[in-house]
Amino acid sequence: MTGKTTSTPTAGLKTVLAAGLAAAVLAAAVLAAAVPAAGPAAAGTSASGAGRPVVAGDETAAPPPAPPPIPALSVPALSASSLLAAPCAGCHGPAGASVDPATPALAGRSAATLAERLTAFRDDAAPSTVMGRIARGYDDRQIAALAAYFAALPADGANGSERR
Amino acid sequence: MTAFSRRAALRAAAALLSAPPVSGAPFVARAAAGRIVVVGGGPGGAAAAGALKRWAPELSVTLIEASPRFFTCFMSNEALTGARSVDSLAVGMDGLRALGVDVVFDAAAGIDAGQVVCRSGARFPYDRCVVAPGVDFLFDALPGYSEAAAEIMPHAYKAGPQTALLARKLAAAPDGATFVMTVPANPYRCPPGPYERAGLVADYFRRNKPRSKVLILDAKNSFSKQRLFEEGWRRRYGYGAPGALIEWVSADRGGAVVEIDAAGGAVVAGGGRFKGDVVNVVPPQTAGRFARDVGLAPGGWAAVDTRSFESKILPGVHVVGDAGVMASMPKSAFSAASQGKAAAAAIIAALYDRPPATAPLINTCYSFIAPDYCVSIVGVYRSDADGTTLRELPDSGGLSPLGQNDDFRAREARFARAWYANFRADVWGEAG
Repeated sequence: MTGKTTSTPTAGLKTVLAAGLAAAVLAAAVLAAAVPAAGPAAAGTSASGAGRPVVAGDETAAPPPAPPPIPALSVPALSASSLLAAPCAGCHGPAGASVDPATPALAGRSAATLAERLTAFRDDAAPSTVMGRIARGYDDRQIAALAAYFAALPADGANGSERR
Repeated sequence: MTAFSRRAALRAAAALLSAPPVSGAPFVARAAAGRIVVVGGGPGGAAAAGALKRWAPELSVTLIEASPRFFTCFMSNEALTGARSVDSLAVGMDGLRALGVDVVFDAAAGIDAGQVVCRSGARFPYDRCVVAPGVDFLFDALPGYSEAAAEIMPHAYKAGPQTALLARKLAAAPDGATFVMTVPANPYRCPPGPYERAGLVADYFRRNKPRSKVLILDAKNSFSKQRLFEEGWRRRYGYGAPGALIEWVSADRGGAVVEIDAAGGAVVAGGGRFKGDVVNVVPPQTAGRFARDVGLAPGGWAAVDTRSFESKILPGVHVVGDAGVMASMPKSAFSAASQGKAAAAAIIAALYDRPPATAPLINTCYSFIAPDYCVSIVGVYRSDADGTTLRELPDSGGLSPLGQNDDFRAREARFARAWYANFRADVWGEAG
């Protein structure tokens, strides 16, 4: 119920509506269609890990020209940063909460530390086995986004880290 | 976007009308929009399913996998020597269920009118489909080899019963045994896998059956991480000197296998007939059957748009992992998971009518030379702007350096085991 954005019309959705739903459902669908798409802003580089919600109640302007009245999905928690960080989980654990002490957890460490470490690996200023080779694929801006993303995650992780 | 089927839409509408009225609009979104069906519960499919639910929990994600337990091929070479059990390779689907994925144990058989059809007759309508069937073996490409022959000369290149079978044969082999391995031409799953296997079996022989030997018959003249493997084999197994525990025969020197004689316990290669006490045939490979049956892989592998991993043949169907043509990205579990997540992001962008977002993909691949001696290759990849290929980013990636000491190699071994635990936790949502 948080944010809403319009989605592409499909034949099936039209069928659903044509089948004649309860008035409340139709009203909700029309309301949803009146909310403009969140667009690139919600997919921008955000450390929060979630797209920016668009609250239906904030919209007082006239509806855009005739978008089809279909229900909308809420805004997904897919940000540019979470996509950038996705492969890191392969070695550092889901949400940066490593389940094996040999590989450091990333979640909840300070952004400054994370950025400094990644930069040092990349520039061969710190010894590493694989991290230097990986970090050389990322520029300063991407390193800053990754550092902010992991810094904002809870240190104990959704799955509970450092159990062993 | 693939059209919704009329029947499914009516079913959804009926379900809505019978739902408690208090729920209202959000239920419409859940029921009527965003159905994704994932075929295959290996690393590519599981990573895609998990990422979809983590990023967009209201999407309906159904994962179809034939078996309740997936045995990871990665780390299975350790099970050949008794260093770990075959059971320890198994991962279940409960973690994905906990993320909200609907897991169905059935055999996906085809695609018909925007629905995945299973052998049981069940049909799953989708708006987007992710196909991750892995590889199948081309038994016919190797005269004399077959599924029946694989009971005598295991491939052990899909983990599970085949891994256990080869482990039993190695355990039963006498001191002084010859372990013959045949390796196919590229492309095949896990390019350094056979050479890791050779080293771990040689380590087992050195400790338990020191008069034994590993003989690798190769259809290639070079192989993944070759200089690192050869350096490690020299240090640990006397490679290149008389009495070495490992011998590698390249295609040029007669290593390419032309026929398998399972009953005779031998393989015939360009260089002659080689008899083994234990023979391991890694067969040539192709995309998993589902991908071929639905027409995704006319050339044996599925071609995709490398920005979204959407098939170039079937719109709305994304192919990730070993079954795809992924340019320079190797067929590894890590690659498959990276691609699965990228496909999930592309699907969300399409369903939510967002501009497509892309980010670099990573492959990280460890290979053991001995239990305490490990090397790696990594790559950071990006699709080019028109989705025709994946390119390694300049100056990034590459191999572990040569000439490192045992401490460096042992650190990589610890990272490899940590990778295995974290990768399972990430991809299948397994508790740590």
